[in-house]
Amino acid sequence: MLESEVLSALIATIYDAALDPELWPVALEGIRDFVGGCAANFYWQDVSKENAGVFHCVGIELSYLEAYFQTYTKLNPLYPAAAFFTPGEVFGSDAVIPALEFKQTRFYREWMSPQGMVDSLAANLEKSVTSVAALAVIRGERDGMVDEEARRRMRLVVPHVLRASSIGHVVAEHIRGKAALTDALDRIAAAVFLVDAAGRTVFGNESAGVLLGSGKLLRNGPGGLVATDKVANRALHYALGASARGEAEFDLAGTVILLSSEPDQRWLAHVLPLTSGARQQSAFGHSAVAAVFVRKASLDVPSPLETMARLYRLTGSEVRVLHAIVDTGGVPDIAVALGISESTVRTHLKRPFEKTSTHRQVDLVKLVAAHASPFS
Amino acid sequence: MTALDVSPKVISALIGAIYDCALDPSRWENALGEMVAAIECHNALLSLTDMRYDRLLLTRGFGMNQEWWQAFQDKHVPEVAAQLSAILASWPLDKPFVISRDMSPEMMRGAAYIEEGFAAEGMIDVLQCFLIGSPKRFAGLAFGRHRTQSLFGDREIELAELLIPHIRRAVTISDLLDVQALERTHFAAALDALRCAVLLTDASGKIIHANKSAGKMLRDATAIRDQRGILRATLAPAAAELSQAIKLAASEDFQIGKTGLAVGLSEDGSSPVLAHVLPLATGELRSRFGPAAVAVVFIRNREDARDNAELLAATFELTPAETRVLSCLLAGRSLAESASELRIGAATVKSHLDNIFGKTGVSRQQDLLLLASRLSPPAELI
Repeated sequence: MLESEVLSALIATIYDAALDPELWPVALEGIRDFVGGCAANFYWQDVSKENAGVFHCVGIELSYLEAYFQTYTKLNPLYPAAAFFTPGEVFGSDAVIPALEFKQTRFYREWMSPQGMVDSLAANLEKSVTSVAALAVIRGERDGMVDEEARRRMRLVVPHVLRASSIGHVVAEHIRGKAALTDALDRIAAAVFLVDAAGRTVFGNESAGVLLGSGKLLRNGPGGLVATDKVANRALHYALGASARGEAEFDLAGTVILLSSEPDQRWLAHVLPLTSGARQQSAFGHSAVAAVFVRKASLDVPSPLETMARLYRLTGSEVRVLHAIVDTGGVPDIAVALGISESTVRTHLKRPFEKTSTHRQVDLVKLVAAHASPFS
Repeated sequence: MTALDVSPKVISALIGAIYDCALDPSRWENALGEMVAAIECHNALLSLTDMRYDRLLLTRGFGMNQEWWQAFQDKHVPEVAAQLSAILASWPLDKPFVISRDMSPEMMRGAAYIEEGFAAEGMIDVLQCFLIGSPKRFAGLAFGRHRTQSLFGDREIELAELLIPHIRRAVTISDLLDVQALERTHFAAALDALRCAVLLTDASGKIIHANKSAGKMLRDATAIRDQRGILRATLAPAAAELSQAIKLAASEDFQIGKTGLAVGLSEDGSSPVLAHVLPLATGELRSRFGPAAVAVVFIRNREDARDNAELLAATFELTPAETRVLSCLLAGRSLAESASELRIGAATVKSHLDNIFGKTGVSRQQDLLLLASRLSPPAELI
């Protein structure tokens, strides 16, 4: 096969690795064989020589890798000077240390020689103030010392490794950014659906998945999101249609849809048109036009009393009384429930009122409600 | 024996120019120019078509005579699209299609776009590369030769064959990033719709994302503020506590309960503003390069505690009279106070309240308050 064809296939592998980092070992093998060497690695090293690490490596036995990190990171005579080359510039070990001198070093004698390694050439890929990431091809006895042909071939490959590595960063950054936003949405107690103009769900958070899984109130039909309740379904599709056309100035109460009106099973859906930012036309991706938030209108929320106790430094008996206010009601009822006198209840209440700067029971109840966390 | 006479150095640079377009699509013109030079042809056109709507999504050209191209598009696009679909049905995706070699005489005869269209620009041959051919979309790259040049030969076909996988991969990466960016916009919009403030930060509190409510809260600077990109609580004691909570959320081995670490941000005596700090589950994505969001901070808006009588009324189909009573009760009035304010009898108020209890399924005034606070919409209109 022609060198150009071999090179083209190798470059393809390198960019595949940018999208799928698990392919780096395959790409490294290709680079090693194309340049001529017994090993290749993609590593980072602190300029201070204290630390080093390998991202990917082929042709070096694990025991030697471990020995490198334990003992030879500090002894490698190529560093720190090797870290000073401009990213992309190809250099052999002789650019840092004369070959004869290199062979005398303990690093060469104890780490390279026993593995049958005679020389190396490398290129820095990325530099920070304290560390450098680099690609190296290590030459074996069979390959001989680095020559002009090896340098030429390395120069053909390195620009692509550099570019692939920056593409990889951008892709990873995109995925990471998206994952963080998804994660934040997953923490919201309400089920969140993003819906496109045709009514299809383009995203659902964790709660949305659970809700769809139960299949009672909402399901994904061929034509999009379907509410089981017929009246609710009509209202839902009316609201989604209006969002898609961008015509309706919904008022908050108007967009609330009761998905189920069974006692103790009141589920509400809020339909919100999305801003133009999210509606931007994309070549192929579906564009969401509305967000649907679904949640149960119930009182079974995790109690925020623990949080309140900590924030307002409430004692055990004060928490008990506060809990009773929310759970039981007025002072006489509390006295009966807790088996204490009404005056004791009032005494216990005095401190929470002071500590929270409230004066009435109704304000205390509101305060407790305000401390409920916005997620499950 | 191969006809490919281009040096590996030139090939490497050419392929490099193609991948430069993956992150920066504005560089396609440059890459097409380099390909036109290497292939030794007249012009090149990269196009992306949405097959469902016969809509050109993207075109990038080099050496294209704009006036001619506009006229060509107006007249011949449906014809070309139909022929491309026909060819694609039986042609291997990786093989370039050369009009002068691969087109059957029957196809040639019916093709007005060749006789009229191409001739008008003096084009004598076209080498068509197929990049993506799915029912939904088509992506292709065409090179054209002028009558001052010869027909495409083995050399050009081999070179194109070599480049096709790279161009395809570059377009795919570009697409992937576009789709990811669109999804991110969606998620950000959903967070923006939330009434509560949502902030994503790294371990040092650096703000990586703030939703709309959070942006407003940062500008108000009463509870939180943006100190050179770092999230800070405005009050001094809360500032230390918030930084500490974020640090804890960031440390992977620290277990935080489902409701997160709560930090009070408001002064004693004012209505409470609370931050809930939670770790993000993206640990395996944390990397040496660039900051990663490790914590999410939710801050409930103070306005949440407002009167939700209207919303309750709409949800549970309360009558206007019942809504008025509910409104009074939610404002903290007693039954007697409500009666005198609404100028109705105490018995009437009591009967309205019983109806409200019946419709909402709760049996105590305290629960009505809690229900109202739960009903507060999670989102607001923008």
